[in-house]
Amino acid sequence: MPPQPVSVGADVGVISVKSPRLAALTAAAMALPGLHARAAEPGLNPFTVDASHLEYFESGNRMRVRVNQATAIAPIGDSTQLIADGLQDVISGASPINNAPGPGGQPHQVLTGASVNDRRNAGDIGASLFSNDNQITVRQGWSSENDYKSTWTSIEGRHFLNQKDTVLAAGFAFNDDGVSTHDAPDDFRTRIKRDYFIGVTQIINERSLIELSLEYSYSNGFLSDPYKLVFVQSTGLLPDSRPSERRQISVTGKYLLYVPPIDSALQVIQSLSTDNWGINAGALEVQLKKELPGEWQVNAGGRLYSQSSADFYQVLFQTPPADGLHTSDYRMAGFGSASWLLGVTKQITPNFSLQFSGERTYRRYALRSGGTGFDGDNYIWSFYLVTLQAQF
Amino acid sequence: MGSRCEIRIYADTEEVATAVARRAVADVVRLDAKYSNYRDDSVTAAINRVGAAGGTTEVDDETASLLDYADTCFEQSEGLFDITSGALRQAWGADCKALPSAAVLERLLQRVGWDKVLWSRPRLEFSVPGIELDFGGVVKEYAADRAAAICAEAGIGHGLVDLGGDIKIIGPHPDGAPWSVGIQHPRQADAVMATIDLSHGAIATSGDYERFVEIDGKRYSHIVSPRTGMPVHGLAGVSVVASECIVAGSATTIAMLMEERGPAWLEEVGLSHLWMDQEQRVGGMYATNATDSLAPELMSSPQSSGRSTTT
Repeated sequence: MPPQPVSVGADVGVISVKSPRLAALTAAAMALPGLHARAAEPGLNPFTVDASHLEYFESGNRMRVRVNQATAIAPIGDSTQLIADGLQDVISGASPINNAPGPGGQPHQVLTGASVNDRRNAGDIGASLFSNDNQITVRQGWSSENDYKSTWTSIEGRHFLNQKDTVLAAGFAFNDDGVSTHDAPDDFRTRIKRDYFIGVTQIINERSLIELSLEYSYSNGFLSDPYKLVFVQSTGLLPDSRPSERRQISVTGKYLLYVPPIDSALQVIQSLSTDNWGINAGALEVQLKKELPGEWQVNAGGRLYSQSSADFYQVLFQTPPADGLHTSDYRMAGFGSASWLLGVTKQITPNFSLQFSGERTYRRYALRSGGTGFDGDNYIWSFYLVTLQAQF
Repeated sequence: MGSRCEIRIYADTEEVATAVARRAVADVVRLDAKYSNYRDDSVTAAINRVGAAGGTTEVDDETASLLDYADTCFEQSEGLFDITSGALRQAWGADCKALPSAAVLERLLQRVGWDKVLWSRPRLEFSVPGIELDFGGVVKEYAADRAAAICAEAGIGHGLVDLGGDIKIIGPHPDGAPWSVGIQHPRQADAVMATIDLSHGAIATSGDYERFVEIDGKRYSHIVSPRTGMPVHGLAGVSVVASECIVAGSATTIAMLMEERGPAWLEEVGLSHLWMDQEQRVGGMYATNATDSLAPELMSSPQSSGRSTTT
């Protein structure tokens, strides 16, 4: 699967108040009659529908993904909102199956001969409950394609402190997945994942905020990729085989700063993760967002990513490892990537906005942070996202 | 309001603009009359009649909210922002020809002090006779906020309300361009000290040049400290940007009252601002907007003679 476009149109925006003095003055001002035109109810959005279309391309006619997504948020009374989300994507193209020694002894990738053409339907429904200082959100989701079925449940709570200058968050998600193959589509094997996270957001002053979060996830069951093979010199091709448990811990820091001389918001996100498979990864993303006259907004930035290879990864194996664990999946290799991203949003009317964004990523073995891999996995991918947002 | 006031709005038709502006102006006029120091039929006059004798009165909701706001300002300014300072005007009026004696100031200061008033919404109790309330420090800015809200509620998305340099933005120009607010130079009439671009929020300006008395060639500001009874002498002028005009306005007044500690107080509050002191040093987050080297030919302001002007 391609990386999800989580960073596009990320939340770089106006930072709200306040020092205790300013909070006191603002609160007293807000109590004055008629100071604001029909002030919006705190915490609740109007009825909102977002629809988006995503196009993802990899270089060399490899994978191509098209995603159509729609989200609806409906407030019910003063303290509840319902959320519904639907998504359909179509994946086509070829993906690497295994590596094999080439004519000069140099390894190269072997891609699927037949073109993959998978369609996935996914959706979720949820509800958020608000009170003055708390918010709780529960969601239930489903995802289905020929060879992958997933059911997930998540619960997330937020607690607001210090006139909402501080937000504490905690959450849990449970994923129950079934994995099969095109060859044996009904032979589903189970994969369970549990995610736990805690986080804190602190508004430092009227122009900056910091957010820290810690996430732990534990997966067990069938964690191998049924479509991947490894090349073993002594025996030939063997199926991908990974440990049946994975524990991953990651920490993410986000810093948002409004810079008055250039009238722009700067967002810096750094994350570090480690797992018991030996993969250590780090990512740094910097984005600048600027409002322009005529209801235009542009954002531009870049991202660096680097990881070390899994302990049981090798490009090619001489003999089968004694513990039976082996992979040559390019995602388990040591590699790094550099991306740039650019987006532009036009507010057409107060209710409609149109966003175009693009991202191009250069994956390079040379940018790895340890372990092994090879240049044959280098590739370039791009995606373009068109989002039409409507609010009612 | 005793100063230049204007409402600038963009509407689909002139009729709509006129009708909306009329509603906003009517509210400004209503507040001016309600809280006037010079009208016998104002709420201020009614309260002060009770205050003169010492006694208790109950106030309406709007007045109560303004008193709550003034009470918050008193707390946040360590007692410097005080709506009972009005009595000191007797010593520093426009016709003042000589410095008031220490005895006069001391006598007046006995009638000054928000802490001498027992405020328990909606009940106002004057423990000392002779105390006078003056809403002048909050009502103009409150009127600007309300007028802008009236326009916004009528569907106006682009415009501003400018009540004598206390400006509340309704929204940017229709093409999204911000309003360019020129800040008057405190020491050079008709010169612009800086321009600040605003698409939303509010800006207020206060300075020792607006109203002052000159005694023996020395200039005394109209802003008088409730502690000493003496005009403040620290900042020549200060402008503050906030979401609400009433917050911007009271913050400028507090910064002036804090004298040399004013800039540090504004930093602590976290509001964007610009100040100039008596030595014409400039500081604050908008100091980079100050006209370079303040060359006279760059600063002539064709717009108007207001404290803040807009383009």
